[in-house]
Amino acid sequence: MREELVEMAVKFLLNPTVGRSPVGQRRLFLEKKGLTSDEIDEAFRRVPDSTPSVPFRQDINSSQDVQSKSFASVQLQGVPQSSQPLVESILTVSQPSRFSWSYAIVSIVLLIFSGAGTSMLLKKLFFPRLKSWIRKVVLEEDDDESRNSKQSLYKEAIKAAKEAAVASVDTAKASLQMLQSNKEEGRHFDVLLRRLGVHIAELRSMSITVQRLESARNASYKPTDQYSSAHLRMDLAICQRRLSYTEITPKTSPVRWPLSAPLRPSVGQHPNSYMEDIDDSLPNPNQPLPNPQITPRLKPWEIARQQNNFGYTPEKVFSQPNGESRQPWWRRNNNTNGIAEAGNGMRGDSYGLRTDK
Amino acid sequence: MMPVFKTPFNGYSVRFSPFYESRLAVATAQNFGILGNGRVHVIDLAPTGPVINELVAFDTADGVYDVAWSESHDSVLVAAIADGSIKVYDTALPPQSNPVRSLKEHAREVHGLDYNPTRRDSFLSASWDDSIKLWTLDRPASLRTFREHAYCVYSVAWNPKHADVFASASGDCTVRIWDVREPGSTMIIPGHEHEILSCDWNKYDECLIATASVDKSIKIWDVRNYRVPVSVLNGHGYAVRKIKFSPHRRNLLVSCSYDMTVCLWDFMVEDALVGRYDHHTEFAVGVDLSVLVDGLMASTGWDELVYVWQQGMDPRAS
Repeated sequence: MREELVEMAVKFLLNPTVGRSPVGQRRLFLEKKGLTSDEIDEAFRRVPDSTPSVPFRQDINSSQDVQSKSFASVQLQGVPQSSQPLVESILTVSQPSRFSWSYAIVSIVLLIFSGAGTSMLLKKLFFPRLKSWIRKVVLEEDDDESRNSKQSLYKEAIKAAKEAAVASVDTAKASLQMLQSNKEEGRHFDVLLRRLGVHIAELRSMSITVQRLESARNASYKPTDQYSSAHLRMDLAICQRRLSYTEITPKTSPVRWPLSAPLRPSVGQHPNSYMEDIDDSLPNPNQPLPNPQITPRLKPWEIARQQNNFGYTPEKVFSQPNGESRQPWWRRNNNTNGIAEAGNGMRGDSYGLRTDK
Repeated sequence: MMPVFKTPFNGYSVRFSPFYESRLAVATAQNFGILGNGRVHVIDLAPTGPVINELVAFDTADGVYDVAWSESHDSVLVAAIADGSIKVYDTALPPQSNPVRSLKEHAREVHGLDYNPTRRDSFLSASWDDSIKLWTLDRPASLRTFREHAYCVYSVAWNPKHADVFASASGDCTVRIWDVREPGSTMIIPGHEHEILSCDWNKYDECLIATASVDKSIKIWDVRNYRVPVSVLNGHGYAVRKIKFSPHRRNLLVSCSYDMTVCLWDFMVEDALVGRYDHHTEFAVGVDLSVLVDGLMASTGWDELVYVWQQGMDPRAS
């Protein structure tokens, strides 16, 4: 046995790279180096390696059983060797899996807590606001519905006032056009200026009336709501008349329609005008009053008073001049009682009235 | 059987003549009285059939809001003009000689007139310049001016028994009782919460006065106790424009309203509404009862129609 070769073989076998190679390859290499089988065995014996080299103590030229055993042993050896890295890999895998379990648990707990927290936040902050907003919207709709019925009358009145204002604006424009087209400005300038002033006054008064209507609507006294629109036209008339005086500023008399005294103009001078210049001045200021042709008659209540005072029934006051029994159509009535009954109060059935539907 | 008279302008007031049974005067104004001319119609009821003829018409430069017949002269009537003047017309004179007088003192529209039925020589004018003026036909200037109301005076009415007492209804929601011999009003009745458009005395009880207001009601007051009304007549759908006590019946009262109806009331009865006529198709603004013919009544409205009918008949019957 050559000792140097055995020691070299031992060193060779101790090499970690060699340790990873199969045993058969190590033996072949050593045999190529010229070592005898005894020397190889000796080297293997000296290497503190768990690899079972005992099956290989037998001859390579062993029988098939030995080969099968060696194959089986190789397989067995391979399995533990492969199982080692498998175990190692399982360990590495199991370690991350162990981490992921805890991670999963922690994340689930965190999710639960965050869900709980979010739900609490939602309940306390978000939903009340949502409810109040919804309530507000619903209430607004209810208010609008209740106000609509009250406002309908006002809307009509306001609409009518606005339409009238628009119409008066159109008339003002037409009057302006007339002014421009009419060459005889000297005579009609006053008239048209006043018309424009009146239209401006109308617009102002209508806006004021609309404001009055709106303020009346907000007033606490309920009947105003219904009555204001009914008296609207009178209000309109009064308002714009009152304002027209401030607009036109008459000096002597509040005449809104000029009295062109010297002549009676014909209609043709104002082809677009719906109003004529009427002269209603006095033709004769010193006209004496006529003498009365008929003596005044006593009033029915005066006659009744006389009756009550003197206690007699006078003859029929309203006798026909021609004495005929035929009466004019306006005297034909159901109640033929005369004046005599007037002062004594009436029975309900003597009216003879028929109520129209 | 009841005739209709069509006016070219919107009707404002109608009055029976105290002298002629068949004669009426109608006050009309163009464009609902807001702007434009006016016309006074004197119409006659034809004796033969239900026809109304126009006797004469007088044109005015501004709308005519009211008309009143003279109690002393059978052919004279006075008209309240929207330009603040009062025109006196004589139907016995030709139209070109009319008007015979123009009394111009009011600063605003003259809205109401009433001729004194007892003294027969004077008349009152109610104006939107918050004042009431007393006139006679023979003087060009007013005799008295009564200025106490705070807003437009819509109507005046002489007391049928006391020749110097009259009442005025105003937009300041009060009715004032005056005596021409006194400098100021003798009584103030805050009758309504809204404007009072018309007032009239009861012809058979000189202490009873009726007021008509924008609040759709008519209230009857006793001036001896004016805190509480004697009666409140509700039934109109809109403001009541004019009321008139019957010259023939103690408890009968007629009214016209913006609800286009003319109503008859008996204020001493529990169910006061005894008649309703809805012949108008626009605001009914004028109504009158004839002093000479019992039961004859007339009404006019913004629908430019004048109806004359006998109480109990249908005004639209033909």
